[in-house]
Amino acid sequence: MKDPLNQPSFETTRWSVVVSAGQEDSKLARDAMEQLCRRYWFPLFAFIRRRGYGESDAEDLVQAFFVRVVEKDVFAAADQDRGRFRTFLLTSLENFLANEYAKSTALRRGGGNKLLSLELRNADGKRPHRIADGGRPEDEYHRQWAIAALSAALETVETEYERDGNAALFSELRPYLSTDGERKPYALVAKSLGISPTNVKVAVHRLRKRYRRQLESEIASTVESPEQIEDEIRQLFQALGG
Amino acid sequence: MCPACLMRGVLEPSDSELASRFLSETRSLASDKHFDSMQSVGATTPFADLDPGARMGDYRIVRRLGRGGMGVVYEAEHVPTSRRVALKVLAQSLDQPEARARFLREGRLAASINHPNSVYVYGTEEIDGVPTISMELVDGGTLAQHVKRLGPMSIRSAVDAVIQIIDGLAAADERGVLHRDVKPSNCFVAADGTVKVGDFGLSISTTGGQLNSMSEVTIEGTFLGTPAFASPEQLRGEPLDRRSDIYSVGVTLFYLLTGQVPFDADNMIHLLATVLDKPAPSASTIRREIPAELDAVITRCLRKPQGERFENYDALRAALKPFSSESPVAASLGDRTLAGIVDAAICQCVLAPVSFISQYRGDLARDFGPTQSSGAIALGVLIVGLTIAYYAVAEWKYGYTIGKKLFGLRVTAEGDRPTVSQTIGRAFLYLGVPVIPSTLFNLVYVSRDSTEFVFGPAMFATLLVGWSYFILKFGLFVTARSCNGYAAIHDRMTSTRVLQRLPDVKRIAAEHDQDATERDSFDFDPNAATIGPYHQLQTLFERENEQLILGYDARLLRRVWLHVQPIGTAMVPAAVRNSTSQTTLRWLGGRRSETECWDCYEAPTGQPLIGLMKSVSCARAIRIMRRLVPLLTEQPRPPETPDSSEQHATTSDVAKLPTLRQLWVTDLDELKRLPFEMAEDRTEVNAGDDIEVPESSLQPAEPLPLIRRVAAIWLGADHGPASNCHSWSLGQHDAMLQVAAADEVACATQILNAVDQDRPLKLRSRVLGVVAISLAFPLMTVMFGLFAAALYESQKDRYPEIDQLHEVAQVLAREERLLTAERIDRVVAVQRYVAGKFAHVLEDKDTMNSIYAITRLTPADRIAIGQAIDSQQPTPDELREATNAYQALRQDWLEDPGDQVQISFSFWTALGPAYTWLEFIWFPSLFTGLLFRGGLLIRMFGLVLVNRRGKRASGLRVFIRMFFSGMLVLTIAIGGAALTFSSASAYWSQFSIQMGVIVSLVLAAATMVVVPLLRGNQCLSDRFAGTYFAVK
Repeated sequence: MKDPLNQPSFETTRWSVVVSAGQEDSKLARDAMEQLCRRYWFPLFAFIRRRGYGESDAEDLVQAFFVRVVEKDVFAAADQDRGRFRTFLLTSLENFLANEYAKSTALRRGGGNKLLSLELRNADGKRPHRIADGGRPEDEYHRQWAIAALSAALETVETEYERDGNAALFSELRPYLSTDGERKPYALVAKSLGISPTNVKVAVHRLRKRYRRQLESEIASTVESPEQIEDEIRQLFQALGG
Repeated sequence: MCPACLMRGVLEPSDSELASRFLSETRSLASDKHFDSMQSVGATTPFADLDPGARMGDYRIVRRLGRGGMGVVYEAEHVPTSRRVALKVLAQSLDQPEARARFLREGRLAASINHPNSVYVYGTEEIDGVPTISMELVDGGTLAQHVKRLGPMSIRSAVDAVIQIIDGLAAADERGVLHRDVKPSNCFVAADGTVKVGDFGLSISTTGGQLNSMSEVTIEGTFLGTPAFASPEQLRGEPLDRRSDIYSVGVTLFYLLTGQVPFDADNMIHLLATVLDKPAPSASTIRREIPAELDAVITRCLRKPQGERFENYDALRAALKPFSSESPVAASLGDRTLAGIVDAAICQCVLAPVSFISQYRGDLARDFGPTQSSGAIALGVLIVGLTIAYYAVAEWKYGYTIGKKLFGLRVTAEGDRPTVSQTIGRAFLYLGVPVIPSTLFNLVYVSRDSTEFVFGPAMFATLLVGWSYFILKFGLFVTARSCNGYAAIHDRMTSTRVLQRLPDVKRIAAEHDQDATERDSFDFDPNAATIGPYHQLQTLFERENEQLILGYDARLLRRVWLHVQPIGTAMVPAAVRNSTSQTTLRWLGGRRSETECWDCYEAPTGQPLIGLMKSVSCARAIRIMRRLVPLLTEQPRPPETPDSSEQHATTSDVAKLPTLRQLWVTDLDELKRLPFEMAEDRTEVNAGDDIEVPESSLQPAEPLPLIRRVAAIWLGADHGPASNCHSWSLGQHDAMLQVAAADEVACATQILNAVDQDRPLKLRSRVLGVVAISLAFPLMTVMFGLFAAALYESQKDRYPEIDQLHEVAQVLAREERLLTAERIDRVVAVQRYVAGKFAHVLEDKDTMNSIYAITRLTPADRIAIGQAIDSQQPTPDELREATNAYQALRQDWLEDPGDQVQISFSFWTALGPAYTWLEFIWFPSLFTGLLFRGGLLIRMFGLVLVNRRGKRASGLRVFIRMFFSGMLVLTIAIGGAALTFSSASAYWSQFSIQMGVIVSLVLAAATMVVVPLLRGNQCLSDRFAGTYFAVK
């Protein structure tokens, strides 16, 4: 309904823009690319694991895949119809795995190149999410992708609330974001926060809105046009089994 | 946390049912974070942005200017002609036929509008399959940029800008084009400050015919436009009309004044909810100094129901005019007087019950008299107070009373609406102060018998008090002069002024407009010969080496002029090609090759200057002259061009003054300089022209002779008051005479600017005003006469004692006249009779002060009766005796009444008005006519009498005119009186004479009204004397 090009936010984070800028090897673009990859590292990892690779192999493969992506301008190859980052990345990964399989080698991946810093374990060395058993690897990939997007958005919002000194508010209101969250009556929350129930209601409303926007912005960077955002959200919801 | 549940939380409808529905229906709503209500909705992602320096067909992109409803707009240079244009490139893939159709339609709709306040479209072309529109480059930025950079605009400049927008939109509206995306960022400011409406990207045609089918590219029910500026019906996707654009104009004005839009929200749903439900906030809450009246205009534009908004642009313009920078025109005293009469009449009618109560204390027949009671005084004060309140509230709330509204007047206080204290002050000075002396007088003498003021020396005091009202009221106006804006004393003391509400400058005449529409929508023959892409319609003129052809641009559906010159003629100078000046004919294209040599120009509607000047009204001639002077004196500076030879040619060509044949006047009275000479009949041009001006354009002419020539052409044609009565004023005519003989350009400019060109002349209503006031006096006599007669008759029945007393007084007077020593007892008998029978009557003030008593009993009668009563206190026996004696004496009196004049009351009612008119209107007018060439009334209405040639009529002529005006009434008056008193009345009964007089007077009055009503500038007597009324 509106002209998205007037929106710098979309202009600069659109993944194809990032990628094409990346060809010029600017530091900024590289950083953005790295961020994208880090965010969606785990879905790729999960996909490879569900294809039957071992954990360390899977880690190496993801690493190699990213190196290849950055190095070989894989993104640039799919110039005409890039579509969504999610599907594009999956297709690329499948091609990559097929090639790797053909070569029957898991060696020398990324040898000599600067590795992307992709440390995705928690402090205790645990993966942030469980990889589900059963189902097709693709489904698991999409599911993990959705989880990654949701978490990234949640994290950003949380950081923002913390930055504004509203960490307590966020932790109190966080359950209301989810339909299964233990939603205490507003009065209770109001009491613990020391504000009126109406204000709690407003705050919840704001948080939901903020979160939705953040999610949209998160997703916006993986689709080609703003019209696709809504659809992407629905697809991710389906991927989560909703 | 379960991710699916988190997702569900996200998808959960958070706002309302409406929101979710909207979400599912409209695609873009998900991108709420991009929502910007100030941005156009309707465009989709462009595929490519052109970088500066990029070539696109014949164009070189200079920079991106912005994004419109349908595409990207670049500043571009047309390389073959090095003309800078604004190039709009469709920003969509070509496989979207509807977008393409809409884009081309934009070009056609916008191209159909040629107005100074609308961005001009040079042409459309498809470059590599991409449709483009080349438009006039307006490089002063948009109004939105101005507001962003400099903050909200001043009230005047904002209103000025919006009035220009309205003019541009009205021009579009006349062509049946709706803009649908009016907003500050679509209003472009030219270097000279002119505001132009552009970006007709979303506009649609509302007229039938060819364009109609194209409007269907907009699917009903879909929203297109800019949310914050869109009307409720536009947001709902309903069918639109001009009132939707008027809504957007209202939002635009709101934005220009405050820097904010009335409704804004961070997403579409909130915006919808507020726009559809909440009333618009008042602009003055954001910016205090916005006058409430202007606020009301904005609010009316922003009403939700279309019917409550302004019906058309004229109404909106008229409502905004008072806040524009156009200089206000002081109201004439004549208009103010008429407005005052209307207001007084209204107050009289409304307050008649109160007024009646103050006079009426039970009985109509008994109680009308000069006796004052404190209650009556209080009621009188109340009436004045209510009248003051009416004036004060109306002028404070609306700026005008009903009378002022009728005569187009408005009260202002230094450009703003007056405060309540100012209006109360005004009304009190005008209405309250004049009644103070009479009120005080009445209060002081409330207990006294007012008879002593009606008779005797105190009468003069009463008269003086009565006159003080008029002295105080009309004395207020002694300070009023035309030079101080007719500021009366009460205007000065409250620092307010009464102004003329500005008339709308007459726009294109209706028949003109009709012609234009018809001309543009004719069926052209597609097989007609073509020049370049244009179809030839008609050859306008043909000289030995050049030709002007009326052509038709089949793509933009508009007419153009094609100027064909011999092969090898140099290219049109760049200054002409690139000019965006309103005074240059727009160059649309041209070709120089071995076989072709032609240029294409816009074909403005209008007439050549020379032809127009012969037939145009004085006001319009002055308007055109005012524009002519700067055109001739201010030479456009040619832009620097590297090519020195071209520069030379350019400089010499542009610096040359145009010949008169090269000037064209559009229907909007804009002057355009043509790059060729229009053919015109040579013999007529020189008519009435005694100044030799070299016609040849080889000789550089001076501006002054040209200006004088134009004035001479106008004067040479027949522009006397006889032929052109409705647009002719003495001041304007004199100015033209002066300009035709001016010594310097500066002098001509000064003369032209000093003339009040836009003042509404309203000649007919002024003349009728003069007639109305002159008839008001006799009419008042009639009214008073009828009232008095009615009262007289009723009191005659009511107070039989008065008639008896009258008889007694007559008898007494007769006896006193005949008094001798032996008749003394007769006088005593009458005195006793009076004292015995009428002592109580004389004490009854109501009876004695009744109008009947006042007319029947002269002061002498009263004195005689009073003396009789004082001198005699008869016993009952004496009284009986005296009564018998009186009856005998009464018989004597009836037999010989003496030389007593019996006043025939009815006779005076019929001829009275005639005498009043002759005495107070006609007679003075003879003297003032002879001495001052016009009386007070004529002066008051700003009129003068002129002769056939348009010069002021001489004193003698005015005297003759005035003399004629009274002849009819004089004849009736003399004839009527002669018939009444002469013995000839034997042939006619008194009644038929009365009727004859009345009928002929009514006919005379009717002639006085009907003749000026039909003639406009002449009364019957003017027909005889050969004079005309003219506005001073």
